[in-house]
Amino acid sequence: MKIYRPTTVIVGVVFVLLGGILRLADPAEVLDDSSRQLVRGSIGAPLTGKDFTLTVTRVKFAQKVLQSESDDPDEVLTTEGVFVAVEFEVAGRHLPETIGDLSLETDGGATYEPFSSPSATSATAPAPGFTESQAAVFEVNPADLAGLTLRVTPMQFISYFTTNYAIDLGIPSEDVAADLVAKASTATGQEYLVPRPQLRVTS
Amino acid sequence: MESLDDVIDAMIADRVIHRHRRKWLIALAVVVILALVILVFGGWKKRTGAAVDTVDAPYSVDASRFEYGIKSAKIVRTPKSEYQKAEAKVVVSIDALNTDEETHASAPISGRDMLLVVGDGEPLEASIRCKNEFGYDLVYGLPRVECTAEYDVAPDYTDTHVKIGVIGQAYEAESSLVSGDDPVWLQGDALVVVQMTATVETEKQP
Repeated sequence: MKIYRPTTVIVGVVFVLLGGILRLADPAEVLDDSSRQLVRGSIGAPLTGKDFTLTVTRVKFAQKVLQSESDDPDEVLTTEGVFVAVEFEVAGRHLPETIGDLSLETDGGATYEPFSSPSATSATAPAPGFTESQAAVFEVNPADLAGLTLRVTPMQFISYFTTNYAIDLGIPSEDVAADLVAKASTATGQEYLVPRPQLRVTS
Repeated sequence: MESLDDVIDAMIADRVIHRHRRKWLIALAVVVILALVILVFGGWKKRTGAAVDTVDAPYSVDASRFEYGIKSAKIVRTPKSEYQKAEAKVVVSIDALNTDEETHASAPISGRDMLLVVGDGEPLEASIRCKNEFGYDLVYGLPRVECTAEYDVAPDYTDTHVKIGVIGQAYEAESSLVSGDDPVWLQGDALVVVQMTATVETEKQP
């Protein structure tokens, strides 16, 4: 029997080409990452996930971050750039769980990571009926802030399809950012005291 | 169904093998003896010594994701006290800059990229603090930050000739289950060994 008949070879080549075309049609344009769904939100507006409601309540720029109310100079964080504090509330609707790791992204393509000691590095949902307010502090480059977006990225397990959250923090351009940075360097707005996480009954 | 051709082929092959049997056996024996000889002499000699340049501190290293300026070293000894055993550590002063042109992402320095070369045995991994904080994320676009790399060593460590091996990072796709086909920062090649003379300090127990 002849194995390598021209028809067989052509059919094989066609299958390889088909595979290439399918790879090109990967829905990269629709989804940020083809293995994850992306849900967008904006500051002040509640973002409803499966088991929680997440609301970013306040964004504050500061030059210094106080970790507690004491005046110990060792506990003051300082920077050559600027700090961005993002305060948010999570209302629980099901089991308490970790929603995902926090990070900031800009239109310029930069990614900023939160400080671990005084602030939250991940968003967690409390028990149903409760709302927890948390704050995350990021050190950022003041020249790259346009389109600042809070990202909540869950740990991905192989077994299921995860959802990423992107919350626009309302800084459309570098001019707006420059204003906020300038305000942070004036005496009154210079220091930011990281609030303690607070749990209250959802009203 | 075996054809006559196949049968004749097999017969010829049989003859050929028989005719050269002694040669085959000798060749096989030679291979086995060679393998035994190599095994007895401990295999091929492994390459030893530093494969990268050794330079004097202060020295600035461009490690692609970060730029490290390695400045000085000291050995800090903590003598034995009533409640604590004697300890020693090597502390290396570094300034570091995030030069990540690829992702502009904030990232901490990995202790596996800054190794203390000790006389014999495995190099030691650092525990790195920047601005006095472990796991400090260096931000792209901000000025240099003061960092220290600390290595826990034996209390009787006396080698003041400190050598730090710097390992770079490479932005490439490793095609794994975690990162997929997209490029990520991975540990790259060893870049340079920076040597310096450490000062010795003795720290009082609190």
